[in-house]
Amino acid sequence: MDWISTLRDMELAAQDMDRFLRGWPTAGMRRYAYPQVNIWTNEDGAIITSEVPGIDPKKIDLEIIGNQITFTVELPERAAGENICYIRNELQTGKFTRELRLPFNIDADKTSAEYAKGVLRITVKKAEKDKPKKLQIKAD
Amino acid sequence: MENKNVKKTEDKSIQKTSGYVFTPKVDIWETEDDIHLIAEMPGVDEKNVDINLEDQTLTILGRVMPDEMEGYEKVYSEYHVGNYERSFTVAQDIDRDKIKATMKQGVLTLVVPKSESAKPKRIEVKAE
Repeated sequence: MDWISTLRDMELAAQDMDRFLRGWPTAGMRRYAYPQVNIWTNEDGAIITSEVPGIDPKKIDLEIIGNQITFTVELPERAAGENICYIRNELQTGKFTRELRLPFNIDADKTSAEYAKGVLRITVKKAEKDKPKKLQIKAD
Repeated sequence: MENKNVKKTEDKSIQKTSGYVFTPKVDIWETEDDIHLIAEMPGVDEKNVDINLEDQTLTILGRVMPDEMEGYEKVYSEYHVGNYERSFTVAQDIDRDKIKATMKQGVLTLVVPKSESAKPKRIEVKAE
C-alpha cells in the first residue's frame, strides 16, 4: 500500500458519496468525516493537521497502533447560563473520532502533537524498520 | 469598544493573505442583558482579528497565515485554509464601547450589551 492507492480509495469513497447525494439539495457538497484533516509527508514521516477550534487540549485523545492513528475531540456546548434564546446555532457539539491509516508503521515514542489557534498538528515519525535503507554494493 | 485581547481597528479594507475567504460558523444567543456571538475561526490568533461596527453592520474578520511545512509535501487535503469574514445586522442603538471581544484557541467571543430600550420590561400588575 502506498499514498497514491490510499488516497485513491478515499477519493473513490467520496465520489460514491457524491453520487448518492445527487439530486438532493446538498448535492455537490462533499461530505467528509469530521474532523477534517490535511496530510503532509516526507521521508521520515508525516504531519497531520486538523481544525478543531475551542476545545480543551487535555481532552484530545490520541492513540497509535501500528500504522493507524486515532484521535478523538470533544466540542463543548458554548452557551451557558439561564434563559438562553438561540438566534443562530451552527456550531457542532459532541465527541468526534477520526481514524487514519498511514502507509507505514508509526513510531509512537517519536510522535508529537500540539494544539494552537484551534488547530491540532500531529507530527508522526516512521518506525525505523519502515524507513528506506541504502545498501552498499560490494565490488571486488 | 472594550478589548480584552483583541485589537480594534477602523481599517475597513480586507487585505487577503490567501485566496479563500470563508464564512465562519457562529452560535448567537441572547440573554436578558446581552447578545453573545461565538465564531469559529481556526488558525486565527488575537492579533489577526478585526471587528468593525458601522451603522447597523457588525463585521468580523480573521486573517490566517498559511501553514508552512518546510521539508514536507502535501499529499492529501480535505480542507482549505483561508481568511474569514461575516457581517451581521445589529440594532441601531448598540453601545460600541461596551462590546467585549476575546479570542481563544481559534474561537472569537463577542458579548454585546443590549441597549436599555431593547431589554425586556416587567410591568407589575397591582392588585387592589
